[in-house]
Amino acid sequence: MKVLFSSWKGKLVDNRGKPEPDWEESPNIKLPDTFGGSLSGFIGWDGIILLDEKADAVEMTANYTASLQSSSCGRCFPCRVGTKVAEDIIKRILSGNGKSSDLEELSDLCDSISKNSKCGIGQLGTVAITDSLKYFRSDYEDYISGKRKAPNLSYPYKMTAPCISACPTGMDIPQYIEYIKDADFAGSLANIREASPMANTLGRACFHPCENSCRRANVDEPIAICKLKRYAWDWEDQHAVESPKNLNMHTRKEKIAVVGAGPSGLSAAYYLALQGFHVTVYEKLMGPGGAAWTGIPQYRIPKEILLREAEQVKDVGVDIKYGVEFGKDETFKSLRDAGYGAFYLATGGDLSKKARVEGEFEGYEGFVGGIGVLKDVVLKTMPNPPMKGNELPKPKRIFVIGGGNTAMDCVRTFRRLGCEDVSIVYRRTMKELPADPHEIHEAEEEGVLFKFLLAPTKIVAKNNKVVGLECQKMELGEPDESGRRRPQAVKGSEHILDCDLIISAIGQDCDIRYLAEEPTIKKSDWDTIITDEDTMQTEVADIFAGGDVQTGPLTLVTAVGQARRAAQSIGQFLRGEKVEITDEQKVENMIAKLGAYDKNEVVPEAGGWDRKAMPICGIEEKNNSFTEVELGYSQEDAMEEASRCMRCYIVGMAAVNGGGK
Amino acid sequence: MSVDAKKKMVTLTINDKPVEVQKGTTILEASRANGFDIPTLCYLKKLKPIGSCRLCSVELEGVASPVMSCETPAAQGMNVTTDSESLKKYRQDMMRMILVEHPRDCPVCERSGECSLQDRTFELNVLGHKWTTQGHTRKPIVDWGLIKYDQNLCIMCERCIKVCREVQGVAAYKIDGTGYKSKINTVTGEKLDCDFCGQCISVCPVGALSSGIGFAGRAWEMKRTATICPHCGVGCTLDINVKKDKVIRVTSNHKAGINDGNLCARGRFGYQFIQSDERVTAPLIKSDAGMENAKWNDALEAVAQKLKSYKDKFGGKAFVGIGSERSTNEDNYVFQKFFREVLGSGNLDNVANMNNGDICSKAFETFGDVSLTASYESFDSADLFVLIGADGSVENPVVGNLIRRATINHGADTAIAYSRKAVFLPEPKVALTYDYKDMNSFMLNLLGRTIENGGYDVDSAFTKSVGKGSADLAIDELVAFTKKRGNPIYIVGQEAQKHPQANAIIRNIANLAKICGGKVLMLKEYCNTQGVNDIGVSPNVLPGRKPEYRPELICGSSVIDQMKSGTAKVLIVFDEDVLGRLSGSESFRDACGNVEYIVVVDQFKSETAKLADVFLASSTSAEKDGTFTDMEGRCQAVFRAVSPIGKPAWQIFTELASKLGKDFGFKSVADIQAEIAKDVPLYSGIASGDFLVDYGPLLKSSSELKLVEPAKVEGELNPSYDQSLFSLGLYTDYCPALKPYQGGKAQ
Repeated sequence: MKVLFSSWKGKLVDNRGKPEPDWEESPNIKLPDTFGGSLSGFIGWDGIILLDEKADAVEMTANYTASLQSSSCGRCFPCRVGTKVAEDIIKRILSGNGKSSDLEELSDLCDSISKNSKCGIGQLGTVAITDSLKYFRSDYEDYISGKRKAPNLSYPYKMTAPCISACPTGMDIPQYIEYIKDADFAGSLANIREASPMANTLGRACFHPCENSCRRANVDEPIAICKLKRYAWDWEDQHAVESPKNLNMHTRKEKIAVVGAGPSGLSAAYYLALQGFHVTVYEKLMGPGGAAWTGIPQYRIPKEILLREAEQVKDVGVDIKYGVEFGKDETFKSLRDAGYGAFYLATGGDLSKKARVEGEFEGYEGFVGGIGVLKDVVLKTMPNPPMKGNELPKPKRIFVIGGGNTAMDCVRTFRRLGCEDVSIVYRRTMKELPADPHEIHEAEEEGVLFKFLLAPTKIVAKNNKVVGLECQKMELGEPDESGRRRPQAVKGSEHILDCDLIISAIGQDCDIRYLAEEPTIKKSDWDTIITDEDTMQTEVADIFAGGDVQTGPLTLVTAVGQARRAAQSIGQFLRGEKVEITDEQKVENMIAKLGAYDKNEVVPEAGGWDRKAMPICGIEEKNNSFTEVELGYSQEDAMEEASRCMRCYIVGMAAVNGGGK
Repeated sequence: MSVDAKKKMVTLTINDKPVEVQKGTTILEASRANGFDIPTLCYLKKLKPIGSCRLCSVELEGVASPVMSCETPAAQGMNVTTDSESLKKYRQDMMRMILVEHPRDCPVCERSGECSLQDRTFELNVLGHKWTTQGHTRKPIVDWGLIKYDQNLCIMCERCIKVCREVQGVAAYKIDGTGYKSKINTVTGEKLDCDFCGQCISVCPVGALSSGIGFAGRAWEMKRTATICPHCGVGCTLDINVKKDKVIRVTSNHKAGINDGNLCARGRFGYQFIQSDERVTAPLIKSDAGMENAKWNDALEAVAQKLKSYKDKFGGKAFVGIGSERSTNEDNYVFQKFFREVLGSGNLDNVANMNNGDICSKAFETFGDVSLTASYESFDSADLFVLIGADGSVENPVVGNLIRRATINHGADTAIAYSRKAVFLPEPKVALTYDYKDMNSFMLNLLGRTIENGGYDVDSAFTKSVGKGSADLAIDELVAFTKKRGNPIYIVGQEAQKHPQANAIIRNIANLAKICGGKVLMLKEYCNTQGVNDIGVSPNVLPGRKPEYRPELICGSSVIDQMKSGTAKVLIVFDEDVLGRLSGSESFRDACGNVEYIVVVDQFKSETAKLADVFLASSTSAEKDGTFTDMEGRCQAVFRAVSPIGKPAWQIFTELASKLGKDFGFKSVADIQAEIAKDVPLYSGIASGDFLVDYGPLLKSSSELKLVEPAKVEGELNPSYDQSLFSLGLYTDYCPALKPYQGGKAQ
């Protein structure tokens, strides 16, 4: 994009003094203006960016240094004291009281701060100060000589980290990890709960985008962020301690209906209850957890601890009503009549996506959807809480169509049910499998077969019973837009593979028939609810939506993250405030687009400190039972793993002219 | 080879020297072990790395910024430089940043002369100011009772926060605020509400946290005597700081003793009794006008005459004596020698043994090899600590620290069974309560469920005699957890030891330990409860616990029976408040009525001392040399730190013996130790000042599993909680600093 000046990531673009049409493009910046046209600049961990002449590098740097000082946790001297000394010097310059020796002193100080600080605030925060001293020296000198006056823009900022920025819940990951390092496990969990009440579910089943943005990976291996979260939850669960109390419980009179007791619904309910509201969750099934209950097998999250986690949501004052189908048993009207002031729709996606295979609509016995079959297994094998369901199929040979995590859940589940011959059927190869590599590895270990470069074309049935799957051989062609090589059918390669159960696990769809009552709410072509991306508010002011029903089948953590923003918006709505995100959140959005993580960055830290392996149960237990596979860290290992965290905190600050406060 | 030693080794180069260290060793540890010192301020071996001071930076080849050696593990192939011009500059800069905030109040600072900040400033040659800040104002000193916090001096190194959480388990401190304004505060923001162990004071590298001795003394003026704590039976090493023969404070040294420098409130703040105004300084003789001061020689002469007349008239059976759990082995040895060899009486005892002989003098007969205490060293390889009838962090607080060290360092777990909610921190994995009066039934049930569900190989006859026990969620959880962790140490507290059915209860704990392959540690109430029983101050056990060592010595019978029956005419009590401590002390008071002559040797006018015909002023362990034996059986030397008030008890009894015509030949404690070493094989190492007593020879054979019929009890049974973190027996009554806390938490 075109900017007046940028030193971002060491790539200098300097268009000062040039007419705007001649400005050189800055190749490495994507900086969305989340302030509606009033953004003049950005200063952060990788440098300083000026968008126009309204921005003043010295004032930006002064405010930025002050933000470093107030973001400093105070736990190392260079950051705690050094940034204060630096702030004092720059403020002195800004107010016209500086002296020319200040610039050398500041530069020297920044070097000491960046080389010796404990975390990114000091290590990376000083980059921008150093850059501004280097490239805007005449501006500083003008301030010192009294020639320049500060323009007084406003400077909202956000302290974040690559991992935090990658997390849809915005969880303060380095902090909760540091609590574990400090042996304050209760403190860690309290910190996690500020972003999500689902530490157990996330700690066991999150696909952890944070770990893909972990700077430690640039040194050796990423931190086991996800598993450490589980450790914090397990610690509380296993020790004689009480969960924290909600001091605001039912301090407000407004009532809110949350539809769906999945991760998104429960999270929203939790944060709404913490704000003092009366919250009732309506759930179609007879137990909590939604997709986490029916879709994630017992060996990944044992149901009994899922129940305990839901109990903790109830403990903060949330009422959960099971067995209530929204749109049928209750409606928008019936609940509005009953005094409910706002709705949060988090009904998820619990229909299996169509496989586009001939015969899938015939109603053959032996052809099922992945979501449905996993749910059936849960309903049949997990008696508590009681749920209704159909008989479990007892197949000899199973094909699962698809290569995602649901497909892996299906094959691993049927291995555990005692089926010997279970295969994944996938159009591409091992390399392109979209499932979590860890899940694929585990499936292989457990004896699951993989049939690659095969595309199902037809379900073969006899007497309305599945007897085989007709497949076509594939070969890989040119890469498509996703970068994966596009599979192409080999003509005349159709052949039939015998089997008696086919599971289609290529994705999920949402059931939003209940929206018929509110036709003004916008829906997407694939039956998801369209909301404001920031506030989660729909076209109907008192209705908000999030989770899979808004995003389409996505991740747990996204569903939870949206719930937290929705709870903020619903609170604003019910208190009669403007429903909007804060300036800090606008900066947060900006940073997410700009990218807080750079996989090519050379991180100046010692490597060779291996990630702690998670102990798992033996293959015997894996194949013959639904025992949880991952056993959890020991305290010793958890504390050591936590010690690997480099606390890559960074501050990003926007320079906003006129608007934005 | 230990588990640790089996870990993989890594090789690296430090300052061009190839070194090999265990995987997991930090660069700092590796460097120091190889003779390369690196300056530190926040690092402390007993704490997990903190990384706040940034002084320990080192250069690594291929890494652009210095890394902190305290928190970076040595990795294969690293090339480390621990000193360079650039590192020196950075270290000086870090010091300058610290000194930006730190007042130059050294002349009036309590810590001056023992301040790490002073030391580093000097070593790193940090001269003059480089940087300043604006708006720095002087903050008032916060008074948290026994602990004071001067924020102005605080360098935010976090040692106090760390030690409070990792070592004490309390987590009373936090960092308040951010950036430059951040400070140490209590977690509640209110007055400090904690154990007042003062660990935070001991680790504070500067004068920020202190006991507030103010201008009473400066570091270099005080003589430190490393000795053993005079309170409970843990055996902690502490330093008595003395200026001009006055005890100014107690400090501790992280490198000395079994306690890593950890103490409890009693140990650290309970020293005022030593030079209390209420100490009796001279002998007192009862007259019609009450107790009157007497000259030493007159008093001893008077006592000797009396003893002689009784001995001549009634023989040895006229004498009964009660020895001391808070005095030294040497004092107690001379005391029993005086009884056995001069008075001709073996009617001796000590209160612990009178309360429960099975766990004191008869422990080895009763419990066999289980009475071999688990050593503190064995804590470091235990995976589970099961506290039974014990609130370990109150009774013997530093045992709590030893447990927590195992918890933090290798992830050991804790479980507690107690008659009420125990306050052990951090919270145990399993916590269960039982009804005090049914404590033995609880133990039997635990035993039964352990055999039934634990899958241990247990003798079938014993299994049958125990029964299956009845299902109980909490007990079953403990059984399952013990099985899962394995390698338990059972810690047995006073509630079990003082229970009327203690013999059966402790027997069952021993059974449990045998079944689960565990060890047992009996908590001991006083600093020398173990020693007084080892050294023979009991009717049935001679010095060294074995009759054959000194066949000429005589055994006696129950002191209280002799008194009740009227056989005993003379009672000599030495350094013990029997009335204050003995269970059923009223019956003892009545029995004293039967005795004609009572001699009390002590420091204070205790309830027992009020009955005395003659009171002989003895000195505390801070005023004499000698040894204590702690609950793990470690015999450690105590040293004279100040001039004695009164006389050491050994001297009193030696002089009395001499007046009665027997010359012990003891001119010094060393003389006594020489005799003990010669005559008492169990204590042959006594002169070394630090040795673990080897009780092995006392064992006939490994004791098998057996049940003991519990004593019949009648009426209401209630536990007495006469102990708190801030009080234990007579001494803490004379420590005004502890007073405000003795009724519960600080006012």
